[in-house]
Amino acid sequence: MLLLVSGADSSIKLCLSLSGSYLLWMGLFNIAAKTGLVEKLASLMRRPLRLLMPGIGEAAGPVSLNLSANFLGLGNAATPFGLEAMRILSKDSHGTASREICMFLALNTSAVELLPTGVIAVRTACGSTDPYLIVLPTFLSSIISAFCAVLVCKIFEGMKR
Amino acid sequence: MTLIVPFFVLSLILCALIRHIDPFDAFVEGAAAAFPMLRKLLPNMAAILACITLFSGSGMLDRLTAFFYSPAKFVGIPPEIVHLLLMRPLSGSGSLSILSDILLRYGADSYIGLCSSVCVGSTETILYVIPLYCSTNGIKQTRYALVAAIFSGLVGIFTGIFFVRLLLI
Repeated sequence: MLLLVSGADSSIKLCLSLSGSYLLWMGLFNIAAKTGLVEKLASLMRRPLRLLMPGIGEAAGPVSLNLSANFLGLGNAATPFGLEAMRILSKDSHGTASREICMFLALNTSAVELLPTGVIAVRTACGSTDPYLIVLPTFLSSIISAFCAVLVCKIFEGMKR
Repeated sequence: MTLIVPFFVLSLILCALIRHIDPFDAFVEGAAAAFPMLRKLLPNMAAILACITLFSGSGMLDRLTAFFYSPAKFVGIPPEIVHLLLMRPLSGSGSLSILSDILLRYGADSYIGLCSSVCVGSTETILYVIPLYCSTNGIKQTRYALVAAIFSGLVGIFTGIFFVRLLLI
């Protein structure tokens, strides 16, 4: 009982601590959308994204922002963009994940990150002589795992057509 | 790295001013849209976090760790990091605190310390993100999304350990 309450409790804390950065990033997102910068980034990313998600449509903006924020290690910024992308992608999905949603979730959770900031911070705090030592192996293995995620999605897409 | 965000924000505001768009109004309008998002998010988050807390606090996590001890050793994963690898898909903060325990106990630059650091960096909290994104948007059937994510997570762990051995040891 105590555990369940403390779990629900932490959702309130997490939501509150996230809400500041959601407000900030959604506000900045709207400035970027109004000035046409989101559309520019989306049109840059549209070609590669089309290969992965043919029906991406107007979600191209938030999807590319989510993936770039993830790549730069800005996890707090990535989540609101991810939720926005999911909202647009799931508009006419009727409770079933489309292949675009599956691909987006697989890409989003395969963690291609330039700098794993959280891990580096922990390593520094634990007295590592070279906290950045892990950057290259981490990057290489996350590239391979992202490639595998795309591959698995493509295989399933081929099977269930 | 720390200058990226301020630079980005400043150029965004300048860009808006050049195009005769009031950045303040645009910001306020966008920020207002964050609330419906948070309101939808909270109930889903409560359910998911209650399950995760129950899983790790009830002893289930420890039992699974014990269960996977020898199989992990058999496939080449240092058994000392099994606990971390089981927590990793569920909670970002939880896995970072386990990582810190491991680094303090075995040394941050030891083989075990390097393996655990790389594995945390090359995987994500898949069993938290996918339920959260899907339930918030009313998606019940995730089809192959979980399979793809779990497979890529496993690939991330094995290639991570492989690259540690190849490049760092």
